[in-house]
Amino acid sequence: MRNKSLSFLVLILACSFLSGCGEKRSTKGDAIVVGIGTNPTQLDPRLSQDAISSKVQRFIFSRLISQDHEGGIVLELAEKWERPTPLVHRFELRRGVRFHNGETLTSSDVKYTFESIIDPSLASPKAAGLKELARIETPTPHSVVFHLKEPSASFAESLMVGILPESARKAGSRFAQKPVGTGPFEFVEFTPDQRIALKAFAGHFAGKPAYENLIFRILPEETIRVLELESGGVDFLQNSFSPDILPRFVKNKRLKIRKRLGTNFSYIGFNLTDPILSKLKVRRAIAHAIDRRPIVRFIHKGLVQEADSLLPPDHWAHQKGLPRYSHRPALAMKLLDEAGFPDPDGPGPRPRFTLVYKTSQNELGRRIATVFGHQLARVGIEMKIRSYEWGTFFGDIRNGNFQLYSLTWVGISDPDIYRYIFHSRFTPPAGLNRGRYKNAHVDALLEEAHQAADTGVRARAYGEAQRILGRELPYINLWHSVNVAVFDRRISGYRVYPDADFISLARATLSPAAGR
Amino acid sequence: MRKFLLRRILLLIPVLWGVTTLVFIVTQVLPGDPVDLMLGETARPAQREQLRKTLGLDRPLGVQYADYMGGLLRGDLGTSLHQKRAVSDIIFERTYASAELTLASMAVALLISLPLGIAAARRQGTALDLGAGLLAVAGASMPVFWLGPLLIIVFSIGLGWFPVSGREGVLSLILPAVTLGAALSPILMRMARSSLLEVLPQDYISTARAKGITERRVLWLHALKNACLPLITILSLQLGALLSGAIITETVFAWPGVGRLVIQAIASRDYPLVQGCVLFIAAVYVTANFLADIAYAWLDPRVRLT
Repeated sequence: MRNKSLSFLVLILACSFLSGCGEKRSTKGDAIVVGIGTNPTQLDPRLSQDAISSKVQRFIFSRLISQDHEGGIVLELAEKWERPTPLVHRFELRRGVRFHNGETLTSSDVKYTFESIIDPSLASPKAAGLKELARIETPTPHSVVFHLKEPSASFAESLMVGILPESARKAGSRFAQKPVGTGPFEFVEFTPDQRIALKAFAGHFAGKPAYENLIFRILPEETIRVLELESGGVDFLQNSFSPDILPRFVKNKRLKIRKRLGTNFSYIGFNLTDPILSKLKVRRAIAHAIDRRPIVRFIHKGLVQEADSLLPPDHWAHQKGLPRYSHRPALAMKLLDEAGFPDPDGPGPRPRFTLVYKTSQNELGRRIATVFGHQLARVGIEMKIRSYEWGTFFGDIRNGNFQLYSLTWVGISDPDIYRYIFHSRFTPPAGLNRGRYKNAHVDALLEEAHQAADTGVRARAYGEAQRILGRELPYINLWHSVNVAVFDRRISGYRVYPDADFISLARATLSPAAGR
Repeated sequence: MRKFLLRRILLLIPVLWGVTTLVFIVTQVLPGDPVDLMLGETARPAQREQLRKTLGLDRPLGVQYADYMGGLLRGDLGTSLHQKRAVSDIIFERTYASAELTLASMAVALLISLPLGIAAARRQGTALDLGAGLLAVAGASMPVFWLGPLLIIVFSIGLGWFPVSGREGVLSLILPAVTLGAALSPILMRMARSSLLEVLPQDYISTARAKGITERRVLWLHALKNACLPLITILSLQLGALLSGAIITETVFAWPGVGRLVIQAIASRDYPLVQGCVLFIAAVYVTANFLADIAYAWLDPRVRLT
């Protein structure tokens, strides 16, 4: 008996000892704790392409230019930006900007950052966006000139990358383990699956943030994120909860809620090489068979806005008066009859044809797919839902191994995205034209818009392209998401960005904890 | 004993080789391409080829396999495609967290199951036995993804005794350990009860009682020692399972263990990390079984390790 008890005691003490060596809870008094669902894949801004990495990096790295809360381009490390010709971008850098390691920002750092991105040995996913870049000159320590091979209206967006110190070259791949930038917060530590700790950078060119610590806690389970927010374990969540939860937050007096229409766009994609879906009447029938309203109301709880284009309605290039496919099941059935797919047994159980709809394992996506399947069944189309783990799903979509699928484009800002998605030259593996859409007129319009410097010319070309795409329906436009931030009342000054960036937290203020 | 140890260690080699080879083949036929996941869809074909070359994925499979096995022989599990760090370092970091959770949850499971199992065996057919049985059924019926949040709501949100999630100090270990321990307890309890019921009527127990040994000593020293053998089997299997990752519990409590690492590695098609993790899991299972064999011999002298 004594021996057993002793063994248990030793076991418990061992556990306590081991656990005692783990992380200690951070001081909450002067910190904002943000709950996120996944680890950032990369803290080197040249190498990441996921949204979470980009959001965390924004606090560590500043960019030459960036977007403000209205989606407009603003100067960040640059204090002047000129385009003397369509092939030249000239930047004057702010003076006296310092990196977290004490080095001063010069044009060499900017040159190094962008040249390393296009260096094939780095294998940066951002290299494709800089393919028009011919060379970079640094005439003075504070001026940097980008020379392009051909005009590119979207090149500015490719410049929105965090600037590294040239000394990062020596660190090599180890740089991402201790990243150094000029952003408002310095990197402290990253413990995968636990947290990323940042501390306010006193030498930031726009002044030190108003609070000392910014912590990102990685909480994969939605229920736990919600409970952590309610219990004060985290102070801030944005979009990382399902719409059903929002009423619960509304009742909580300790929390503030801020919303704004975002730039994430959800759609149903067609495989246009499929013998059934290559018929326009079938695509139009599906568009009329789908009723987005009940999904918006009952599943998304109003936190999305129906879309008629990739671009949100307040975007400068959004075309007014685009075709909207209202819910008209009778018309859908008529179009299917005309397309050569009559209903074999009227109201009987046999379908006109069967389609496979692929989606990821996201629970919300699967619920929505179930509703689509039910709506299509009413017009005589059987829809089989296939839900896959992300890598398999993504591989199938890229390889054209699908009939229907649904996905979301995240953070659309420059309309040049149309070229990558609908230009016939950008069929995978060369681009994002997953549905294999081909239209020479649309190709020409998108090329024209890509090369034009004048916003009016671009808007006209994109407008015409949107009208054609609205008629030809390579996509069914579903909705734009509304970004929702829920945070502790102690936080003031936070603005929700269209692309759901967290960066306005850098300028937020934190009132003293009350009763914490 | 030495012969036994040597034989088991030698047996380890073909087992681990088989597992390694199987995992290498499976990762190659998995749908999804790590290059796609790393570069995204806008990358140019030349860039893809370059990355494929950098990662060594352009070489013939036989060469990749030989290279991987050569690395293993040198103790090198390779480098993570995404994290660009040694796979062994990444797994080692997670092992620590998994070991904490495993030891704590086993302690909880034993603390619940042994006293209840013994009491149920000693009072077979009484209300206590029935109650213990019902408790076991209830415990086995509660999935961890339900029990975990329930414990959080009661003890973290309601009473404020423990942190909701994360691995930050001793208190954060309690709820995940109780969740996992509660899931493990029913089978241990039922096993302890049935083993004791088999052992208690045996002659050597009657003899011990006749010698005047106290009932408590008869039970805990004489009876339980022999009744422990099936428990050791279950514990060794569970030790392997828990050390290699209690994925749901780790996810619910945001616990940075090996289970979540494996899932992330598979999702991102990080082949070296997947291979390293599976090799680690296989090694854990083999070691746990090996320890169980030794424990058998220690508990029951009739078992000979040859």
